[in-house]
Amino acid sequence: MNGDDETIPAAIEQRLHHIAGATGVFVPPAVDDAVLSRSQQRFAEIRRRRAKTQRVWWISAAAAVIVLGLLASSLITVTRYERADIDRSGRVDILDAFALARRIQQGDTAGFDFNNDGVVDRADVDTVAAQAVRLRKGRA
Amino acid sequence: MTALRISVAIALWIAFAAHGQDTSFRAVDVYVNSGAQPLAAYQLTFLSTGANVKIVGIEGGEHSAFAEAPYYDPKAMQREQVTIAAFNTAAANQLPTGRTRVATIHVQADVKSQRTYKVEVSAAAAAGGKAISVQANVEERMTR
Repeated sequence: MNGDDETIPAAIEQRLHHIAGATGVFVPPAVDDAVLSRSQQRFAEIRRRRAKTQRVWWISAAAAVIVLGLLASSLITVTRYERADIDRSGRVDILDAFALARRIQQGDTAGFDFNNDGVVDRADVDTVAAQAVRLRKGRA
Repeated sequence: MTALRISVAIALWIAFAAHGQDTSFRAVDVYVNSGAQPLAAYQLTFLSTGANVKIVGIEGGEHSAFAEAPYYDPKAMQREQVTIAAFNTAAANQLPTGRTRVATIHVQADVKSQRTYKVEVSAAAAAGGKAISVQANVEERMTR
């Protein structure tokens, strides 16, 4: 008998029956059944309690993970910029197009292919400027 | 530039023909004053109210640095609001200072109704890209 296995091995059961027979103690079958039944009920109750305890632990662990995740996300503030927000002002405006035009003049073109045509040139500046002046939804 | 002016004139003529004598066409000059700072870039929103005002054309300003038509959303045509913007990467001595007309917005409006115009500057920069504070205003003149 070990862990969750509450059945009595056949060999031990035979040995016990043998000892009981040898001692000459007579146990009525009804009493034997009653003892067995009570034992089974007791083991079933133990299993239920153990399962309940495990559920509580899992729920507690999951809740702790969620709370820690929320706490971490509130502490770590990551500012997300639009790709065309070159000057990182929080919005795309003509100053971004202006900044891009100046960078292109200076030969700094890495990562600014906004129209995805393979080259960084005035067309990319126009793309950013067009985004800057685009009518927003809800405007007249 | 000539092609742009011809396009604006044709658009005005078509709009006039479509609406008859109850409609007038006005040119609204947009001025930006950057003070002593050379104006290299601006972005502003023009809004008209009343008189069933509709934008029918946009052209550039008086200074060579902003003579080309500014950027704007073509969807703003036939509406009463538009955001315009332009920049110039030239050296500071080639950029305007003080008050300068940066654009002209052509509108169509009912003859007898009152109308008001409003401009809101959302960005401006001096040569070198430094953001600056500027003032903007508009002046209407009748074209037809």
